[in-house]
Amino acid sequence: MPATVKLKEEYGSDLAVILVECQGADEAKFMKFAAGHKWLGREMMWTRERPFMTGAKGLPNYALLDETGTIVAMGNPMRDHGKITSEIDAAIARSKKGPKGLPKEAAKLRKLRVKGQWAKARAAMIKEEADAEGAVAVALGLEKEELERAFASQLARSEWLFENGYPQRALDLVEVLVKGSKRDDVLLGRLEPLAEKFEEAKGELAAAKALSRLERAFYEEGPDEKLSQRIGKMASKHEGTRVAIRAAVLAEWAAE
Amino acid sequence: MKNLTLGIASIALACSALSFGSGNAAMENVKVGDTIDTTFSKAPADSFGVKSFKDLRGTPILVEFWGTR
Repeated sequence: MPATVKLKEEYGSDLAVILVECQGADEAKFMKFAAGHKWLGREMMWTRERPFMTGAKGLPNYALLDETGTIVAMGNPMRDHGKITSEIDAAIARSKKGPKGLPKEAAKLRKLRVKGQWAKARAAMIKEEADAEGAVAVALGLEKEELERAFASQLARSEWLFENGYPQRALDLVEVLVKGSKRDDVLLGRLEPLAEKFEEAKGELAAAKALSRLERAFYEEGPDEKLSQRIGKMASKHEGTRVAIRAAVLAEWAAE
Repeated sequence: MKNLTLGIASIALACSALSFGSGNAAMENVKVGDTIDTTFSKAPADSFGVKSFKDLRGTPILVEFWGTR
């Protein structure tokens, strides 16, 4: 686990990490365990729901998926550290540049999409697909699908963040999406309902501000009874907000 | 005789339901080269809205199986 934490620190948002607890501990138990080791607050995901079976006998064991969701390595994470890092590096490079042989028209689209320049990517796509034929048309079609999927996924993510007590993160994401969608009325139109939500979310944002310092303390110090009580008080003070619901869960994890 | 046959069939069905009671028992082992498309029934903690592997398309994913004991 410490090696995985270090990997996540090194790669940041270029690597997603999902940690699956396999010995029957409930969420509160394994989150307290992780908090005690100062593993939380590092943008790693925690679950007890197995997404697939590896057939491995011991723990820990791992599976590494590349940028297409295909398994490229499995085994013992401590033994395979070199293999893991070289596969991650290769996946990141392919994700940014595309597979070998990708037509330059599609590669241009991909570059713009990966940078979050949604409006420019859509404009380039409309221009290129008008005259495209054969393999170029096929590649552009795939990039177009991925562009739509990626934008829709970001929209859905920002809605989820708002609905689940992360209003500041949701707002930050929407602002980035708006910036990348400048002068594209279609994309901006899709963002409008979300932007309107934030105008009525002052209470949520105030609660998020009150929680953020306490949450940071929990990640840095681990479970602490007094901290748990402070988080609980914060939740009571901001009762009725989605942030307060999340804070109540955090208070449980922070309790010793 | 018909009632006995039905009774035995019911017991066999109940036993097989018990042995496959865990969702994991029905899953086959994955291998290198398989594409994973799982959607979680509940978004993982600290996932910030990621609910499926498709949400992470474009990023390599390290899935580590561990235990608290």
